[in-house]
Amino acid sequence: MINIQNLSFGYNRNKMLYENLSLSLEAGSIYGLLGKNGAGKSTLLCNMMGLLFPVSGKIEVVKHNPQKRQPSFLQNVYFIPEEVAIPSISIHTYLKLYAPFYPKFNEHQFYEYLKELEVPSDQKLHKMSFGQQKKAIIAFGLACNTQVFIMDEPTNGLDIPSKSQFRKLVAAALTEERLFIISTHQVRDLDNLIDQIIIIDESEVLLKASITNINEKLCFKTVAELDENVLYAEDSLKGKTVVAANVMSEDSKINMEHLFNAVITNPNRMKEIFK
Amino acid sequence: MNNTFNFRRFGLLLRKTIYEKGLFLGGIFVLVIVPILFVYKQATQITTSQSLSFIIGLFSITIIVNILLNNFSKKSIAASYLTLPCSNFEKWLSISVFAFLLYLPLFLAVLKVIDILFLDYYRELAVTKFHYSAKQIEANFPHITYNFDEKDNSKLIMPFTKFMANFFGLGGVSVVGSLYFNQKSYLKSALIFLGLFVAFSFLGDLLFSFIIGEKVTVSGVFNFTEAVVSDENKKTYPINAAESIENLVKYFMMIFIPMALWLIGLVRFSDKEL
Repeated sequence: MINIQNLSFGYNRNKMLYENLSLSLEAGSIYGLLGKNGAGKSTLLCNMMGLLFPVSGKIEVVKHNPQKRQPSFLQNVYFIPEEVAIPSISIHTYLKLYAPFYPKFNEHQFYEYLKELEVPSDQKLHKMSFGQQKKAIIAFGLACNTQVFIMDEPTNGLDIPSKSQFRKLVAAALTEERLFIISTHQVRDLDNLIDQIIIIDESEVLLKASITNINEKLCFKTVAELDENVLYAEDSLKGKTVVAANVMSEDSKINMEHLFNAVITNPNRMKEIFK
Repeated sequence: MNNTFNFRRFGLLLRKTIYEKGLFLGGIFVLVIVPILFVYKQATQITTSQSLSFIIGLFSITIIVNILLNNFSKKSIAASYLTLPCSNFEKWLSISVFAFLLYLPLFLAVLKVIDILFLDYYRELAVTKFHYSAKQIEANFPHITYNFDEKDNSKLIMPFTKFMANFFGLGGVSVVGSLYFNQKSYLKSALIFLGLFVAFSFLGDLLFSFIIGEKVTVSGVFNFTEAVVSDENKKTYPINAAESIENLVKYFMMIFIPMALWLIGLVRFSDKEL
């Protein structure tokens, strides 16, 4: 559904942010795009949306070149940037003005999502708190039923109950035809939500793997002693919490934060494990 | 699906713009009308009021276009605008429709009403208070209202055709400026335009003096067909370009350049990034 081939992009031609990046994302998955601040997550998403143009390489999203920003492409993708644009109108007016642009928009779903996220539907958008505004836009984006739904740091500004509500709604909205990409640096927010992880750092994709694949190849546990299989370790009350190569085929629950740190600190070993 | 133009989509875009920016644009329109009323109220010469009103109208189109395209100062607003499912052509056309099919007729209609009312009032005053004779009335108020035919308005600094060309041109300058500059686009475009204005007023004289070999004063900025030549004895001679050249330059300045600016705006819409 999204194909990126040899993408090179830089805000300055002398200093490229990405060089020859290739990535392929399939429908029916929720991808978590993880990276440190300034790693280029938003830039990559903006390239996918046709908001920034690559210096070289090819991007194809739902069989379109995003750079052309054709209506047939734009009505099949929805993008929520980190800071949302809120016009000075009510939710009802927002619905009236924006929903007709999206042919698969479902008004009933929209009000259901608002209810689930506890956003009052009779308020003016600009008079809401930042978190409420963001939730209203997330509800709208989900109700658009676009094939691709891209969210840049969607959980920023959301309170704890809303974060868990958000995870529930996104998981429920996923179908075989849809693809969600959620970028964040708050990796814990995506716990139990994503089924594919992409970790980028220093202009490079360090890891792209499914949760199943990660479970097969890595194990997350607490140990007393470190051995050569350990990729990352952190002191804890019970000993050392580690991410290690899963040589014994153990079952464990992925700790996103530890996985992220393991990939960032040991990129070459990770690449070897996942090649 | 037509990815270039669709009536329904275009209608939705116009509706969205009216909802979101209508109140602001209406406020600007009122702010434009107030100085026009003031200019008519303080009139010593009705032709001066008419010219000044047109100049205010020119100033207002730059503000109107800037408000319509004020979508790039914040990344979130720019992302929302650029990813709205409409073609670049529709977005560009909506600005043109607002400028030429909505704002311009409305401005001219209101100006016409103001002109009729004030002229009527001044005529009335001339007869009842100052006891003008029919001849004086005819001399001072040759028309019931402002006439859009240029030949009847030779006294105006800003005749209607010149107003229209400048309206088209300044609108184009604002479109290009708003699309090239994300921050403080109005100020930056105004500075560039002012810079060009100053450069042309100095460079025009210098360039023609260099070509002709005598001191030349060009008659007005962006005027390439009329000049005054001064010889060594400080005697002056007005010179004009041939009529065919004059027409060519006139059409180039009044039609080609404004049109080119609007088309650059359309191209820029396609190239626009965050």
